[in-house]
Amino acid sequence: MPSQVILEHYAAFSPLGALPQTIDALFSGARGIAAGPCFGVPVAFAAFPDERFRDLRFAASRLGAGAQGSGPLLFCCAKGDIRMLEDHVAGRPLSTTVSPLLDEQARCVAEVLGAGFSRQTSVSTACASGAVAVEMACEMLLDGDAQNVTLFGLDTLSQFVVTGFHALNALSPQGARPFDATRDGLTPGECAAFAVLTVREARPGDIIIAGAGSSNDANHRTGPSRTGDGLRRAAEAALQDARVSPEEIGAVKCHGTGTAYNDAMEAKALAALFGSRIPPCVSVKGALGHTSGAGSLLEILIAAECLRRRALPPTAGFQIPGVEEAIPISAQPQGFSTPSILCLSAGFGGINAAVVIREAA
Amino acid sequence: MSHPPVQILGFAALLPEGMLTAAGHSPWEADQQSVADVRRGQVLDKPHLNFGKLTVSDRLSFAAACLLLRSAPSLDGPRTGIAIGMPWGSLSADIRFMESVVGGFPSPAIFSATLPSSAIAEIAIYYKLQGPNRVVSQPYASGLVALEAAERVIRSGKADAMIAVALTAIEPQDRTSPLLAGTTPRPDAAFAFLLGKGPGGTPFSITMQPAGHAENSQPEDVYLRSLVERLQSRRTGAIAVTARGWFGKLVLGE
Repeated sequence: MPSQVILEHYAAFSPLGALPQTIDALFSGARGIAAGPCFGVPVAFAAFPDERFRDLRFAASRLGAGAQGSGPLLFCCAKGDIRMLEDHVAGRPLSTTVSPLLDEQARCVAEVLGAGFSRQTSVSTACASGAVAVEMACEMLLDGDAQNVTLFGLDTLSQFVVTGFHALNALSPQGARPFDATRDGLTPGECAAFAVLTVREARPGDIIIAGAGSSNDANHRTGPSRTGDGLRRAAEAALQDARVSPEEIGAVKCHGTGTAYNDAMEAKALAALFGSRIPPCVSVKGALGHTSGAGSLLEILIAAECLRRRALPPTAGFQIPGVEEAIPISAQPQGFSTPSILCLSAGFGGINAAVVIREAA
Repeated sequence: MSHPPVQILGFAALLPEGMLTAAGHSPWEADQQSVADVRRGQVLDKPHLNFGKLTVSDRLSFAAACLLLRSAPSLDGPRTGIAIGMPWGSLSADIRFMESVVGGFPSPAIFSATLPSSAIAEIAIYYKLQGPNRVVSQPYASGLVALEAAERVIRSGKADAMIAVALTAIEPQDRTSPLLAGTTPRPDAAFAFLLGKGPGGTPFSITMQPAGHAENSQPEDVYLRSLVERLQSRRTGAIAVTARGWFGKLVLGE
């Protein structure tokens, strides 16, 4: 049996709590979104129920307890813990000793986890950081450069991020409604996620990272390509890497931010990829908010749990189809039979990333 | 499994003393005090409306790529990606944006530059390069590790060519910022390499490993200059790297 990349160990904390609680809450239709204001901005937001997780060291120590990785550590985020920069520029006493430099944050995580990592590297490719980190980890593992790779991601609500998205008119006042006809923007959220990938023969029930791919729209600094071509190519690269055809995908975990342009673009990408047979799709951003670069990793872990259940949770916030293409998005749970999920992410700068996961028989 | 060697098909550098390509060296004009003063017309023959408005990181990475691609073969956009290494990510843009927030007028234009990956965006958009992207943000050896990441992408088969940019760029007023965590910025510089499968290039491999404190460590740009000089003079051989916190080896030739 050939060696494959296995999702060996994982944990996360989201606006709906720890990963097991998050999954149960998602399937019950719960939303972790609160009404605004958020840092003085009149928008909905999705905050940790335990704000101690905003501290990088606390989050790493809770999620990575028992980590015994010896290979590389990849720290994936868009901005990570940015409090020191905010405090410094605003002239406030520093509320943290964690540097805003991503490499320093990666080093901090490595120290907290206490394992003998061979190297620590930050992966910051906007809101696709987690998926790109998974792709990089797979390359390292399959190249024989490492036996295991540890991934940790953290992105938090901050004045910096919330005000920035608000300046771009990207935020919904009431909460994200992915793929809905009345969608009017994204909801900022926060999360922490931890995973260990290893390379070995798969055992029944293992979650396999079957393939990964990425691309760039080469279109606009903040807006996605209107054609969805870049996301489609990232997905095709992941499918090719996994050696599967679109017909062998059981479900899709969409990026689904709830903005007019992203969801329209993503629908086009899905239609181009799957034709008339798009499998069941879900976006969790209506329940958890847009949890940024680390969220790209969180959502892959959520997809892994969905894969075990052979079911997708409701797409919270969705009621009326709002894209041209007939995408199987639902306000109810959806079952699927083929044990594989395509996970999609996209980010500023036109970056798209896709990961295929499947459950070993 | 053996892989066909990755080749360096081209290079360019923006250095304190001037611009460097395979065609030769061009000194800066008398009124250009630093690399950050590079003008659009010196690296790009076509108009680019926003060149002067780009942040220093975005402008230098874009300028280095333009200088590189001026004399490069045409690229297959969907199969060409970009990797960038930068010591402090988007720190200068982050500070400028937070200043605009504190000042009561958050700038959406600056916010779009507050990600390390924004230095890739301008290159990708202008040249329609739609392949994979890699971003390395660490104070030491960031460019060399980005070069390693770019080589790995090509060996994985996910791209046929990669532009690897090694960037040192920070706004002058941020050079002494306490947010730099004790690191000392080198003068602004940008190196760009075109990696691919050939033909006509120089076979190349690179491996980088973290190391503890190393005696006789050199700043990364010493090794990048050495690489460029060897490419210019078509010399092969190995370059042993001892950068702060990193050991490595670059090999030119079979």
